[in-house]
Amino acid sequence: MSPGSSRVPSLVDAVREFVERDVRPTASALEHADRYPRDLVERMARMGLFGALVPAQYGGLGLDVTTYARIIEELCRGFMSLAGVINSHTMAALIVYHHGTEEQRLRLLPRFASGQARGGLCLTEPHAGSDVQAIRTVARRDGDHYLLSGSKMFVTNGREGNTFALLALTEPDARPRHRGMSCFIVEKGAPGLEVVKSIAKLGYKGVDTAELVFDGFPCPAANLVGGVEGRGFKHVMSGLETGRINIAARAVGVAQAGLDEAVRVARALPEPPAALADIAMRVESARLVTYWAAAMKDRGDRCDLEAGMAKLHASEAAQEVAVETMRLEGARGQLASGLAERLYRDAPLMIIGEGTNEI
Amino acid sequence: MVLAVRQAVEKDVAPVIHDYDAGRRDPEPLVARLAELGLFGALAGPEHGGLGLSLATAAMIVEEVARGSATLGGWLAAQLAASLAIARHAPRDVRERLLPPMTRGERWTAPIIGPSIGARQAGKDWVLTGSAPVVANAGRAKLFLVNTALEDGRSRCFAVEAERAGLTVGLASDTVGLRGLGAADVVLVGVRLGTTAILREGAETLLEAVSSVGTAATAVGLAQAAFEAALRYSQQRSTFGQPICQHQAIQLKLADMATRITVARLLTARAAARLDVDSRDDAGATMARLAAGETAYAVSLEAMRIHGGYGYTSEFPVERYYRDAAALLLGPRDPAAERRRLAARWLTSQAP
Repeated sequence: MSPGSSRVPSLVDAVREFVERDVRPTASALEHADRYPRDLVERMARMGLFGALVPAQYGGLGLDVTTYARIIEELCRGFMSLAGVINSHTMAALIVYHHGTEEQRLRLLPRFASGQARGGLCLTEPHAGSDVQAIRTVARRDGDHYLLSGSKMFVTNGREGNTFALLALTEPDARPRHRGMSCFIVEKGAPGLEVVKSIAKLGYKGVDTAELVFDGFPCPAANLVGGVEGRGFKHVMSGLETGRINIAARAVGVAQAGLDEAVRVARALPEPPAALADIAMRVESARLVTYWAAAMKDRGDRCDLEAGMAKLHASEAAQEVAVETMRLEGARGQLASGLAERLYRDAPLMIIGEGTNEI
Repeated sequence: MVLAVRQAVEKDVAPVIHDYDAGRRDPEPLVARLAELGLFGALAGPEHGGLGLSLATAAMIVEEVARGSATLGGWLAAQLAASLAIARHAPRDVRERLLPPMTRGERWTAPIIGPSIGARQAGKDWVLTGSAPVVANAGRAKLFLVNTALEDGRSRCFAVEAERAGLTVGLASDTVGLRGLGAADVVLVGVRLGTTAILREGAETLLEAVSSVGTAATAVGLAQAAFEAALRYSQQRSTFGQPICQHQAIQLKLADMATRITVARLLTARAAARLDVDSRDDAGATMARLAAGETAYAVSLEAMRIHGGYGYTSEFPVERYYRDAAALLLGPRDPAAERRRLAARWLTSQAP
C-alpha cells in the first residue's frame, strides 16, 4: 500500500458513518418534500468532498477515482441526491484542472474544493440532450467579455449553485460544429442569467435541477477554459469517463440500498426468497465492473469503453434490484413511507442520465 | 360502447388528468363522469340498473378508461369485481339492496383479496381477524368484500359493512402511483358476522379472478398509453439530424412494446371470456394479471428511455405511467407466491 492510502479507507468509513447516522434517518423526509439538503451538504463540504478529485496543491483531497467511486456509492446507499450535489460540481472542477490555464487553476480550484464555488455543468439544451453537437447557445466576444445567450436544460444545482462549466458556440458556422465550441466557467452575479424554473422529477429530489436562460450574460474572457476558443467539446467529452464511472457508482449505491432493504424484508419471511440471491448477484457484479473501470482510470489507461460498460451494466442492475425489492415487499412496496418506492423512482435516472443507455 | 368510452375519456379525462395527478386532487368529478356513462353497472343486469355486459366487454372498457387514467381504471375495476361477485353469488335480497346503488356509483365496494384474513366459526356466527395492506378505495368504501381463509384451509368471501365493529380503515396511504385511489390499510379484529354475510361458495374465486382481470385490463390500458406517448415523442424528437423513430434502436423498442401489449391484451381477453362461461375458470386471470402488470412496468420504463431526460420529468406523462405501473405490478400476494399457486395447478393436473 502506498503511504497515502491508509487515510483513504478512513474517509470512506467516515462517509459511511455520516450516511448511517445523519443521512438515512432524514433522507426520506427531505426527498418527499423535495427540499435541498442544506445541512447535509454543509457536512459534505466540511469533509472536503467538494474537492474530492481536486489535487492537494489546489486545496482538494486529491483522491483517486476508485476512492471517489466508493464515496459516491456510500452516499447513494443513503440518499442518491447527495451524489448529484457533488458530482456535476466535480466534473466542472475537473474541466478546470485538466484544461484550464495555471492562472485559472490557482484562481478557481481552491474555491471549488472548499465548496465556496458550487455548481455543475451547463451542457444539455432543450433540443440537444445526448446529441451535444446540436447545442445553440452562443458566446459572442465583446471586449474583455463574452456575451452568452441561450438556454440550458437539466442543470444540476442550477438554482443552489453559483459556478458552472458551460459549453457554447464561439463560432456558430464552424464545420465540423464541435470546432466552434468553447467551454466557459460561468459565475453567477451579473445580470442576464435567469433560473427560469426548477424541473419536477420522478425521483432524484432534493437536489435541484433547473433550466437556466442566458440573455447577453457577460462572462469574463479570463474564464474561457484554457484561454483558447474551439476546444470546448473536447474538454467536455474528456470528462465522460469519470462521469460514467460516477453514474455506475451511484447505481451500485442504489442497488446496495435495495439489497439492504430486501434483506430486511426477507428476515420477516418464513424462508429466504430466491430473489435475494439474484439481487445480491446484481449488486456485486455492478460493483465489480465499476471498480474495474475506476482502476483503469486510475492507472491512466483509456477506459471509455469500460466506463460505458460499467454505467450500462450497473444502471440496469440498479433498476432490476429496485423493482425486485419492490416485488418482494408486495403491496407495501408502493408506500411512500417505505424505501422501495424511492429506489424505484431514483433508479431510472442512472439509465437515462450521463448519456442514455440507448446510445 | 367501448368506442363511446374511448371518446369520453379522450374528451373529459385525458386533458385534465395531469392536473389531478400532480395536484393530488380528488378524482371524484371524473368518476362522476364514468358513472354518467353507466360504467359502474357494466356487469350488473338491467334489473339492477346495469348494462349487463360480458366481462370480456367490461375488460375492454376498463382498458379504455385506464388509457386515460390508471387510477380511474383501478377504481372501475374494483367496483366491477365486487358487483359481479354479488350478482352471481349473493342472495336475492342482498343483490337487490346493494347492486342498484353500486351500479349508480354511489356505494363503493372494495374487494380485499389478500391472503392474511382468517375466519373462524363461533356458534352460529363467523369471526374475522387479520389485516390487508393498501386496499384500493378503502377510504370511500361503504362495504368490503373480504376473501378469508377458513380454519380448514378453504377460502370464503364475506360482505362486511364498513361501519361494522372491529373493522378499522387506516389513513389514506401516500403511494408511488394510482394517486387519488384512496388506498389504505384495513384491519379486522374479531369482526363478528352472521351467516347472511357469507357469500355463496365460488364468490371468493370469482372476486379474485375478476379483480385480476380488472387489474390486467388497467395495466394494458396504461401500457397502451405509454406506448402511444413514446410513439408520438419518437416522431417529434430529432437527434443526430433525424427523428429518433428513424433510429433502429428505437424501432426495435417500439416493436417489442407493441408485441408485449398485444400479448397482455389477448391474455386478458381470454381470461375474461373464460370467466364469462364459467365462474370457476380462473387460471387465465392470474396469468393475465401477472403478464399485464409486468408489461405495464416494462413498457412504461421503455417509454421513459425513449423520452430520455424529459421522460424523467413530471412534464411528460410517462413519469406518471411509470409510477402507476408500480401499483399494477404489486398484486395482493407476493408475485412469487402467485406463480407457485399457478404452478400448483399444473402439478395437480388441472388444465391452465
